[in-house]
Amino acid sequence: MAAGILTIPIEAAGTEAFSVPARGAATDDFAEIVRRHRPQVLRFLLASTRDMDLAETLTQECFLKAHRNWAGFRGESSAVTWLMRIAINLEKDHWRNRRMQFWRQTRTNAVDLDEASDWLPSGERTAEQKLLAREQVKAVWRVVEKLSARQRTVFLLRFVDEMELSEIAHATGLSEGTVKAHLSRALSRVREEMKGKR
Amino acid sequence: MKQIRIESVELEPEVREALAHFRQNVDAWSQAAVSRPRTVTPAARVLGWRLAVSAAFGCLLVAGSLTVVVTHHRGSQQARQPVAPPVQMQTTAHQATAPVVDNEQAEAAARDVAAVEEMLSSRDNSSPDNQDEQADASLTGDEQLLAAVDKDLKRPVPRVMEPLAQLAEDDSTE
Repeated sequence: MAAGILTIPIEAAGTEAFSVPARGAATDDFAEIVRRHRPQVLRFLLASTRDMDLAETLTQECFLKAHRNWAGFRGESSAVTWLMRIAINLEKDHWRNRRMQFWRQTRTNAVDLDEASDWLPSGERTAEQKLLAREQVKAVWRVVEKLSARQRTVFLLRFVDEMELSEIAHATGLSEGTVKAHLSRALSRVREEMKGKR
Repeated sequence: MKQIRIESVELEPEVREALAHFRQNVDAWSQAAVSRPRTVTPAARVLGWRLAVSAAFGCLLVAGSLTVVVTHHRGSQQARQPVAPPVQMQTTAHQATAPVVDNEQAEAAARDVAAVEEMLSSRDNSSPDNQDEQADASLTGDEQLLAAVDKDLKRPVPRVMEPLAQLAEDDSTE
């Protein structure tokens, strides 16, 4: 599925919001948007699905949709918030279509938690530290798996993409209070998981 | 990494560390997946494969059609074979009756031939004929010929000559 998809090499993943483009911005502006925010969108979708092929496909669709509607982007929110909103909707549509097509083979390429937890930068860590980090990551993955779709989205936008609460509220269409509530519940789950692990 | 907190609520160091590791994990995974080498199949090769597959299917279709035609032809031939014996029986029946007809014709012909031969031999050997020949010897050529004709006309006509005799009679009456 991922074969043949045009990929752009990841550069320094800037988390700062891209400056709001003027209406009718040139193609160069959109290329810059893709270069800056593609890693962020992909990271969020990968954490949501644990399926690299699916995450790449949805990322590609996200930027395709953004490109088509680029002229209509009014700049009421930052570009990354706008892109995340598109990505969240695409993911929702994907799972909704998947549920509707229940007769299809429900094969998924999502990796299991052990495999997902293997990815850690080597750094200057001892074997014990690596093992501890791996266990912590696995515990968080377990919590993420158990969260509801909305809680998971809010949690990942906050702790994977490091977005502000107001940005999350814009991207998800929720109020900031609701976002806080979801985050609070998710964090309490993480704490419970950590305590249980100990 | 930014200080992760929800409003004023600071996270416990252990939870913060776990969340930081989680973020590093997702980041490393996505970077590794994106920077992996990819093989893009050239369009020409794909087109070649498609053509080859299409040609193979075409050959299969033609071969299948030919097989069906040949099988159908053989089947029809086999279906015709059971009908053949009655034809043979008819021909044998015809062959069985034909000799009877032929034999009758042959016998009739043989009888006719025998009658002609008998007539000739009787003309050659009979004493009245000898007497006539002796009498004819004294006659002239034309007279001899006419006498011979008359003599032949007096004789009984063989069965095979009946149609000719009938024609001769008709001509004479006319």
